[in-house]
Amino acid sequence: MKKPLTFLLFILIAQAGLGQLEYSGLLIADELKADANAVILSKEVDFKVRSDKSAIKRTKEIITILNPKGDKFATFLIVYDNFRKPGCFRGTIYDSWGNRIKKLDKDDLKDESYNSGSLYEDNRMIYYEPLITKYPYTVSYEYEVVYNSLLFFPIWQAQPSYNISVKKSVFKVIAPEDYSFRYKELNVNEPVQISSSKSDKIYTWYEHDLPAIKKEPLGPYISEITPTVYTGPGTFIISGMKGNMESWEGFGSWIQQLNEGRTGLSESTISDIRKIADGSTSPAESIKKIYEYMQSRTRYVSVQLGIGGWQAEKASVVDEVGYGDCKALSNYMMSLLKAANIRSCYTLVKAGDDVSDIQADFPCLQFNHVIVSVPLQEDTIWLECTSQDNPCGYLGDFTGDRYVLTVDMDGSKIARTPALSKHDNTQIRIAEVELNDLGEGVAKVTTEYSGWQYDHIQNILSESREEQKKWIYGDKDIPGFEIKNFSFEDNKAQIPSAKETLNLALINYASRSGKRYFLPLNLMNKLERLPKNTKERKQDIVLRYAFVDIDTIYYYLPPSLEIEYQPEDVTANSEFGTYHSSVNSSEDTIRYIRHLEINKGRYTPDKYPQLLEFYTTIVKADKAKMVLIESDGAIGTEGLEGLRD
Amino acid sequence: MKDTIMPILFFALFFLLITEQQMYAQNSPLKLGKIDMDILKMEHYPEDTSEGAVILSDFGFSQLKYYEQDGFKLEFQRHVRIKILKKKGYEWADIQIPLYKSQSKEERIITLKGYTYNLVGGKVEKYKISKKDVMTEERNQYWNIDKFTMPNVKEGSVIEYQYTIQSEFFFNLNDWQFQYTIPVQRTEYWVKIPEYLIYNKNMRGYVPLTVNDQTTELSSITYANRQRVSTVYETHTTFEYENIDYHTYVYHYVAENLPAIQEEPYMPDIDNYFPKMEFELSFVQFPNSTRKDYTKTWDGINDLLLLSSDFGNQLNRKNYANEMLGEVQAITDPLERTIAIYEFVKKRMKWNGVRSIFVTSSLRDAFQEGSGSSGDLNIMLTALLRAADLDAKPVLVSTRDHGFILPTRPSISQFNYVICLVNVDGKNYLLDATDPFCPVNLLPSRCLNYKGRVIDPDGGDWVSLTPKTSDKKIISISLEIDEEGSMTGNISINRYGYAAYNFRKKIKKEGSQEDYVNRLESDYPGLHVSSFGFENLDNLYSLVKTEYDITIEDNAEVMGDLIYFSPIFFNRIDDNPFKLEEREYPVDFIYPSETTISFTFNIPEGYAVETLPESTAFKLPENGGLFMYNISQLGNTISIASKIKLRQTWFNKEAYPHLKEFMSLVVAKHAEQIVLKKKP
Repeated sequence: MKKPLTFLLFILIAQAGLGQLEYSGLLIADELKADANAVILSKEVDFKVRSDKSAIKRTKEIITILNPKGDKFATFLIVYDNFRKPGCFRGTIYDSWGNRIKKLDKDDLKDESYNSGSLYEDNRMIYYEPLITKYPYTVSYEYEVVYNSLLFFPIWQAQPSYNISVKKSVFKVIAPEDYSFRYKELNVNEPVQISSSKSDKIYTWYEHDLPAIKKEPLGPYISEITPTVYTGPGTFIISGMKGNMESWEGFGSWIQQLNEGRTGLSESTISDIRKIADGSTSPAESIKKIYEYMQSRTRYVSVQLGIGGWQAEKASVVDEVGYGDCKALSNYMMSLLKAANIRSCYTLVKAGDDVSDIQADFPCLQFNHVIVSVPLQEDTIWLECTSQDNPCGYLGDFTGDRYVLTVDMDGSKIARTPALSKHDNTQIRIAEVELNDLGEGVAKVTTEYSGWQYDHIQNILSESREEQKKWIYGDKDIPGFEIKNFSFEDNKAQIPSAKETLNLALINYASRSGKRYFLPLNLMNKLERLPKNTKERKQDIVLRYAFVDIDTIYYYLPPSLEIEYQPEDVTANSEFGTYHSSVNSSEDTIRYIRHLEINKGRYTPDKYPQLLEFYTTIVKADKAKMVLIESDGAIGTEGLEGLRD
Repeated sequence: MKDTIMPILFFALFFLLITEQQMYAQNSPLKLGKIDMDILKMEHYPEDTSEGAVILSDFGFSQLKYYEQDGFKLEFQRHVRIKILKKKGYEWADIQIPLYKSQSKEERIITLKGYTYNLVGGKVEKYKISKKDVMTEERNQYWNIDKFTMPNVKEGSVIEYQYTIQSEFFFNLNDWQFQYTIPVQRTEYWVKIPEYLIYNKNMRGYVPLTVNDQTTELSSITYANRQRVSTVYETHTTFEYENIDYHTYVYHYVAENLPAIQEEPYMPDIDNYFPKMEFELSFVQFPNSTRKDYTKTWDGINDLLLLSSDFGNQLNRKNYANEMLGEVQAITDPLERTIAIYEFVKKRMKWNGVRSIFVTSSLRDAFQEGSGSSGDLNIMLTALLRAADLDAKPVLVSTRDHGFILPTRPSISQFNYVICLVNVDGKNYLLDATDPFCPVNLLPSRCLNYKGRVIDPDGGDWVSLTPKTSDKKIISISLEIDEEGSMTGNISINRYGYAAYNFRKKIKKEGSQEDYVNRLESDYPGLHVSSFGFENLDNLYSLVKTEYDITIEDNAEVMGDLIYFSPIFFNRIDDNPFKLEEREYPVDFIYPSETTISFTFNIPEGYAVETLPESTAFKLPENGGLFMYNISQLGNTISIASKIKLRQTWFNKEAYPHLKEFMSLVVAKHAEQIVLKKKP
């Protein structure tokens, strides 16, 4: 290995001329190039607390882009608002040899509104996208972000994503000695080094030579694997409002202070609520009725304005205009409950159906959504206020099963939203298929979706019939069919469910070969693909959803066909779940049952072959076909006459 | 005296302005703020099954209005009334209005008023919005977005809003879209433009117009020249009036009861199907000033572009690439020289995603930067080819999402993209340097849109953009089946044209060849690839060859003395993409395709063929496509040849049932099984 390197160096020096070798992507060690689309050659982030309401973050980074998939790491982007403003900026782009191609300053940056999908927001962004065709190339950026509040302490993650390696990365927090700065380390190779300079304390994290992490199917989030440091403020001031983040309680009181006095309602609304409360026999009933009242009077409009997007719009305004964002609608719901003398909590959550949980033991900004919780004696009722359809008390996979912060005047605290068990997340199907002697059939299929499997079809329920029909055609995994009729029934229970009834014509369902017909037993719930095979699995296996699917399919045979072959029952048991398929038949009826249960869980990487084996068994069993044979005397048919050339 | 004269003068001025206003004004058929009970009570829109909302009335009026201080300004007034039927229609209550800006000038909303009406306990409740409810987002250098939200919207609400946009950009006369993704009960547009401005009109798509009028009115404006007169006793202002008479062109369109437009699979971009009246500024000539031409004939456009500093002038700029040009001089074969230059530009330049027909600043800058728009890259390509003595010309294109071009309506704004045409030995080649995977004469699918306009000093012309190349695959599979039903053998696939292009892109997307093979294994559970080889991934001018040695564990089932299996397990069409009974819009496959698969299966010793699928062949009408399936047996070897060819790429509503049936027959044939039986 030594020889080629010396040789390469020679070429480099010859080619580079005045190029700077430290910026050349050609000298990167193979270990850092493996699985990498880009390499962070060096990154230094200094976060300096300047006063109780101001901080500055200085970043210096040099990143080599190895291939087109790494281009996204070359893009410079800062999102800013009234609380975070970009300061100085300097950038340089280098070619493979480390020669400077382009020098950048602030004038080269584009300044545009940052459109995250919100209707109203005051976030803006500055960005620059170097478009380079020759790889590797290197970008170097030096920039500042000035904070006029200490609310926003950074979360430092050594590898921002998969497929990027790190040669050297340093994170520093510089804070006055008496400032109660806090941090939490995860996966760091070297713990913090603390030093002093004048009246400041300097906290330094240093990571080097981190190979790129390749994304593995069903793996954990990158933030759970790479060195990560959460940091959080002690006291902070934002728009004149003082807060303390050292405990969730402190942060909770700040949120409460922010939304103080914003619960006033109009007289007529208050009297509506009193009527509802008086007509109800239990608090639970009142809550349900008030929730439905709120749903009928409002709709969700995304707004990202105001104090860092933290303050809720006044309830009286929502009362007047009938719309708001999650904060406004939650605050409105709480105000309505208050009018009925029901105490409720403003509840902060990190929402998303594919996000890692918050660090519940480390208070800092980790939330992006607000819901309402109502503590009752026996139970807590959770209310998602941005949906007009959501059943009262139901949280889908957007906010369910995770840590949240409930804000309460008697002390804010971390709580956990309910998780549904696999027996709540079900898909139960019963189908009856009547086959004719051409292997075609008519089917009546009834499927009930519950819990998080209900989330999958919830949006369809309110669509027009035309749209529903299109959805059925796209969603149902049957090779050829026509919809004769269909209906949906919505059951908004606390664990909601919906029933789908389909009347279908199956075209060419059992394929013919000579006098035999091959009848696929699994009508429409086949597992057809496996997770990608990774030869040496490194990461844990994370199964995020537990569920149960049961398909029971009856096939009624015409007299012209009899059973020649019936596949064996298949059973697979594993710690990931269980699978069982069984076939029973009489002369003219076949009953096929498929029962699949998947458990939620986290498993060590060495279990991956077992998981694949489990899935492979299912894929194979799901293909099972019954062989039917024409009884003597039946006549074969030619289906293709019409179009035959 | 003063006291009596001034009111008269003021009155006169007021009167004049009023008459002028009335002469111009065109009123919405509905009165803002007044609502019918019936409409509030309506629960379903009878014409349609409930799309969430219905536009009851959409009224627009564009005019050129004269202001004494500032001269003419373009004003667009719109009054919309929408019935919200279902929650999914709520999005129609969030309104966003894009406003153009350039340098110090910007379009502004000068008036806005709106209401939400709800029926509560038999009574109408009314909520108002006004200009103060508008929020402006400064999207970027060119666009502001004004936004507002209608209050208290519920199922059953009726919303309406009326606004006026004032603009100094004469070229930005508002186009009128007639149809939306929700039904429209009535839509009406008026345009009144003085003879000083001439616009070309384009009707895109089809909509039955109940009114389609074009008339002329006589108009006049009155200048009031102020004069301050001072005498010994007093100072006062006098007015002198000057009248100018002119013609106003009046366009008036009405359409009624239009259904919603909905997206369907394999549909060309939905935007193409929103019927629209478009206006393009052709020339401006005010009295006593010189005429300013915009565009009007294809020849005019040709000449205009050739003279333009960000188009035609750039075609001679080449010095930035002298070094390369020196090197290619040695290549005597003109086609090879073309390829060398084309590959050079693709390697050197990266497309920044911007679709444009113009050079952004200069080709030298773009070259230094190493990136640019479609205009930068392809005009550079054209310029460099010309510098190397090749007959290259720029070709204007409208990309697929930008709509079909109308050759009968000369205008530059029909185009948003430029590519390059080279003629070598009498043969035309089309080139687009924005996509590194395109060889000469293969265009990215965004460009495959009807016709392009060649810009040429010897006179422009049309060139067809219909693809000459197809998506072609030839697959040969040879497998040995053993008594356990496991199959071993090899697959070789040759990909040509778009198949090779798409495959190269796919490998790039997967990251590496290994990743691709891993993906293949998980897409075909039971398939194990023991070794593989890919050829010509980097050589764009050759077919891509792939070879795999494979075993397949679970394709064949063994039961008792029978073995049965689907012979077509690879590249099988197992699902008919066309499921809807009928279809409103054409199916567009973009380019033709052809897949040929030939199999040989060697069956195990001691087994005989029990049944084989039958050979068959069928065609689409007018030779649009064909499917062939031939099966034969010789000793222990079964051979199958399956071919699907779609020559036709565009299937309209009438041809759709044939296509659907064709695909369903292919699916059925591909699902058929072979049965083997152990010899006694």
